[in-house]
Formats: sequence, C-alpha cells, structure tokens
Amino acid sequence: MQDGPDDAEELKARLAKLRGDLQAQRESGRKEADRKAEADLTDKGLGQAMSLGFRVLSEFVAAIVVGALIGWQLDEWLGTSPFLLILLLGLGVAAGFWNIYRLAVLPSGRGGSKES
Amino acid sequence: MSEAGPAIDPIHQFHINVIAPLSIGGVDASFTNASLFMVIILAVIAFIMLVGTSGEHIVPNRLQTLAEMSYEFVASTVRQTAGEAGMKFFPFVFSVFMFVFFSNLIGLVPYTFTVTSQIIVTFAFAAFIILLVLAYGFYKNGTHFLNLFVPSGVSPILLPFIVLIEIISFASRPISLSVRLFANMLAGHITLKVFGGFVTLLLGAGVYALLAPLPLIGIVLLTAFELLVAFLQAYVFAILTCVYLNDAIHPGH
Repeated sequence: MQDGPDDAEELKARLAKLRGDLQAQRESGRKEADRKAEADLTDKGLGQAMSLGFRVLSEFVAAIVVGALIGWQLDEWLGTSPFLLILLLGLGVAAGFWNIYRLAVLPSGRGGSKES
Repeated sequence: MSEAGPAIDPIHQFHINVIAPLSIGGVDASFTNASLFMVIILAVIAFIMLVGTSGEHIVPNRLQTLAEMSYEFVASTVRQTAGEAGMKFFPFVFSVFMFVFFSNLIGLVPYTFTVTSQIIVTFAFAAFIILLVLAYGFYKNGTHFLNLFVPSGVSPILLPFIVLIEIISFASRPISLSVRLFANMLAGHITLKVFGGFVTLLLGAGVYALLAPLPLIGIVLLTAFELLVAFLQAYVFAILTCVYLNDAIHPGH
C-alpha cells in the first residue's frame, strides 16, 4: 500500500465522481418517488375523499335515527308521546353534528400520543 | 324490466338460496349460498395465511409476501390507532379486516355472492365489536369507563344534555359502521348490474346497439373503482374498530 501523490489524486477524483453520481442517483430517485406519491395521491384522493364523505353522512344520519328510535321507544314505555321523541330527535341531531365535529378535529390515528 | 326477465334484475344477485336445509331447535340454520361463500372466503384466507407462512424463505415468494404485507399493514394500523396496548386485539382486527376485504373482493367476481352486501352480516360484526368494546371497557376500567360519556370542563347546566348526546353518539356507532359497509357494497353491485343491463337492452334496440359499448366501458371503469372501494371499506371498517377499541383501552377524553 504505497500512497504516492498520483494515487491520492486519482482516488480523490474517483471519490468526487462517485459522490456526484450518488447525488444524481439519489435526486432522480427522489423525483421518481415524489412523482409516484403525487400520482398515488390524485388516484387515491377521490376514493379516500368519497369514503370520508360517506363516513360523515352515515355518522350524521345514524345519530339522528338512533335518537329518534330511543325517543320513540321511551315514549311507548312511559306513555309520554310525543315529547320524548321530539326531545331525543333534537338531541340526535346534536349528536350527529357532534360526530361530524369529532371527525373533523381528530385525525383517526391518535392512540400513540396519549397513554393514560 | 319485466319483459327482460330476471336476467337483468339488479337485485337478483342478493337473493339467498338454500343449498342444504337444516333446522336446529326450530331455528332455520340452513346452509345457503351466503354460508357457502363465507366458507370459501375462510378457505381462501386460511390458504394464503397457512401456505404463506409455512415456507419461511429468507427471500419470500409471492404468497409469503402477501401474508407478510397484510400482517404489516394491519399491525401498523392497529399501532397507530390504538397504541401498543391495542396489539392485544390484533388477532381480532386482523380477522375482521381479512374477512371483510376478501368478501368484498370475492364478491366482485361475476356469479359470486357478496356476503358483506347483507346488512345482517355487517350488523352482526358491528354489534359484536361494540359489545366487545363495552365488555372490555368495563372489565379493564370498571366504572371509570363511564367517563367516556362525561367530557371534562363542561358547565353543570349543560352536562345532562352532553351526556345524552354522547350516549346517542355512542349508540349510533354500530349503525353507522354496519350501514356504511353494507350500503357501499349494495350500491356498487347494483350499479354494476344496472350498467350491465344497459348493455343488453341497447344491444336489442336496433340502431342504438351502436351505443352499447359506452356502458360497457363504464362497467370496466366502475369495476376498477369498486376494487378501490372494496379495499377502502375494509380498511375503514378495521380502522374504526381500532378507534372504538382505543376508547375502551383509554377511556379518558
């Protein structure tokens, strides 16, 4: 292993060339990944947006239906028709909005951060 | 529609046909086409998982990759949503995800039956999940679990209403969970069938037969979209299961 000045120069040049190549490779790879991610986003965006929209709709409607059903059944049992139905229908609507609000403020992934 | 007969009746695909009549204690427990497809789904999943995990190649083959990918995917979903403590429920969530995903997927093959397009199936899943959440929540946290319904920092005047709203909101979960999956599957399959009906109707309509390829192209696009829906709905079902289980594990708001 004799490091003459020529060898050192050559090694340096080769290292520089390698560094440049690596950089170019990395950048092109990153660009490719970016492009792929972008394509994925537009492709999946529609489906995911639709599923989120459907989620909002179903949670809203389900809360109203459940409120109305509970009120109706309680009215049957207690003979207070129709007051509990009206009250619980209103509360069901509130619960529906509450569901949507919670969907909007909390991302669905939240477990890791809180360990109570 | 009536002159065309049952061939393009878009609802016909959801009929339950008894294959082998069976009655246990007065309860109709016949083996139907729905049961048949549940067995097929279980067989497919069992095949993928058992064969996929039996080889243990260092460089995995296709089946092993599939099995490992599905494991990794569900495991990361559970970890992100319910935390490390949620991994206790990983087998359950994995089973639910795989069953729903494969029943959605197999249902897209022509002439098959979609198990998840029956509301009783999805509701049974959702009811079981909510009962599990309730049972585990009370088992793990005792009455502390009820704090789920009592948000902190609410003025005492509003509190009764808020508690009622929270209870209704909780009670609506199994409904929304089951209806979402069921409605997506039902609507998708009916749409596909209706478009298929357009093709046959146009073909029999003289000059308009020239237009017949248009709905056919629509079917191709819709099928691709249905594949996406099949996956997304199974994913949403699994992730919501995790979110609800997370409430049982960490009930503090």
